[in-house]
Amino acid sequence: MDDDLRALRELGERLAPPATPESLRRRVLAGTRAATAAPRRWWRMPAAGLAAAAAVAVTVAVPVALRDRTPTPTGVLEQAAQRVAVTAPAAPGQFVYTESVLVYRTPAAPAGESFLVREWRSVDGTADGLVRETPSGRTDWRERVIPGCRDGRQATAVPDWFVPCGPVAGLPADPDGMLRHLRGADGHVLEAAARALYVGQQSPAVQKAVFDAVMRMPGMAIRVDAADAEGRWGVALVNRAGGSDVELLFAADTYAYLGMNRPDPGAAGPAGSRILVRQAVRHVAVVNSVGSVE
Amino acid sequence: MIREAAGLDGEATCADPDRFADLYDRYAAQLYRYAYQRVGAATAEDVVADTFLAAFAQRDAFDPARGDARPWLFGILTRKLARHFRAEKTHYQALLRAAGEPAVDGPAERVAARVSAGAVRRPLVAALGRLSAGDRDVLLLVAWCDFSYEEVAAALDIPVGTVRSRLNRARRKVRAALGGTDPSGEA
Repeated sequence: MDDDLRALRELGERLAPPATPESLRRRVLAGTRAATAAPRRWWRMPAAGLAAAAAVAVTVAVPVALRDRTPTPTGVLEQAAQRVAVTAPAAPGQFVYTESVLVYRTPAAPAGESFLVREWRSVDGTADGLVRETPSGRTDWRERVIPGCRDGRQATAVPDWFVPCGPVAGLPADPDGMLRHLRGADGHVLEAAARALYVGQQSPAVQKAVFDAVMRMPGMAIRVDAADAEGRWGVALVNRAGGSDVELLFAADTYAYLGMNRPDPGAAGPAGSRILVRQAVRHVAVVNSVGSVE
Repeated sequence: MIREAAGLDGEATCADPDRFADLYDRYAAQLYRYAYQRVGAATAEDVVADTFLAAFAQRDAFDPARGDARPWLFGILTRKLARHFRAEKTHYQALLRAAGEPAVDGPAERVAARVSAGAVRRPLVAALGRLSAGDRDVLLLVAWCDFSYEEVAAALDIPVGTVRSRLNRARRKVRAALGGTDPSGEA
C-alpha cells in the first residue's frame, strides 16, 4: 500500500470510536416508529429532538437568542438547572444506570488511562448494585458488586467511597444548603459539585441545587472551546481557585451537563493511587433492575 | 433479493418499521465510525441518527439496481456531513492541537514512536483540512471505508472518472504534505 493511504488509514484507526453508542439504536428505532405514526410532525424534528423524545425525557429548549450569544456562567447554569428540574425523581427500589468514560491519572500513566464504566446503583440502598468496567476501546470487562446500604452507608462505583443511604445520599436539596456543602467539601468547589452531581443523579432536586449553588459562587468563567473525555465539544464552566483548574462541561446546544475535566491535577500521587482527571457522562437512566439500561 | 439484502423489502418495511432495525444493525457501526472520524463524538451521533431517519423516509426511493445499501447510506451520510463542515473543521483543528502536544515520559521507543506518529499526523490532518469537500469525501471513503471506485461513484452520484480524478488530486496533495511525491504520477 502507498505511504499516503497507509498514513491515512493509521490516522483513521486512531480516530475510530471505541464503540457505537447504544443510545443511537434506541434513538433511530424510536424515530422510525414515530415517523410511521405521524410522519410529518416527527420528520421535521431535528435529530436532537428525536433523541430526547426517545428517551422520554422532558427537554428544555435553549432559547435561540441565548444560543446566539456568548454564553455566561449564569446563563449556562440556569439552563442546566431548568433541564433537570423537569425530570422525574427515581422511586424507591429503582436503580440509577450511568454509562461514563472516566480517565484516571496514575504514576504509571501520567497522560491518563481511559475506562468505559457502566454502573447500576440502588437509589435507596435496598439492593446491591453492579459496576462493569473495561479499558476504553477494549472488551476486557470486569465486574464488581457495589454493596447496598450497610450500617447507614452505601458504596459507590469509586472504591472506598461511601455515601449516606437515602434518596438524596445525604446531600442538600436546596441551594443554600448545597452552597454550604460545596464550600465545606474537600478540594475544589467544582470538583465537589461534580461529585454531588454524580452521587445525586437519582434526585433532580439535588442536581438543580448544585447548579443553583454554583451560580451564586464568584469567580466563575466560561470557556467555549472545551471538549470532554469523549471528544464532545461544549462550553466549560471554569473556576481557577487555589491555582488549580476544574471544569464542568455542558453541551454547546442544550447546556446539558456532560461531565468534568481537571486538566492539571498536580502531582500524580504515590504508586497504586489514581486521580480522576476527566469524566464524560454518556447516558443516565432510572431503571428497575441491574442490567437494564432504559 | 437486493431489497432483502438491503433490509428494504418495500411494503413490508413501510408497514413494519421494526424491519428497519435489520438495516441499522448491519450498517450502523460503519456509518458511526466514519462520522466519528470526520466530525468527532459530539456531532457523530446526531448525523448518523439523521442519516438513518432520512434513509427511512426515502426507503421507497431506494433503487435495488444500485446493489447493497452501503453506498446509498454513505451517500446520505456524506450529504449530512456536508452540513457540519464547521464541526469537521473544528475537529481537525483539535486534532492539530493534539498532534502538537509533546510526548510524555516513557520508554525511549514509545516516546520516539509518538514523536514520529505526531510528525506524520500533523501535516496529514492539516492537508485533510485544506482539501476541497468533494476531494476529501472521495479520499476518505476510499481510505477509511475501503470503498471501491464504483462504490464511491454510487454513493456520491458522480461518474467513476470523476472519482479517479478527485482521488488522484487529493492523494497528490496529501503526499506533498507528507513530503513525498505524487503517488500516481498523473498530473
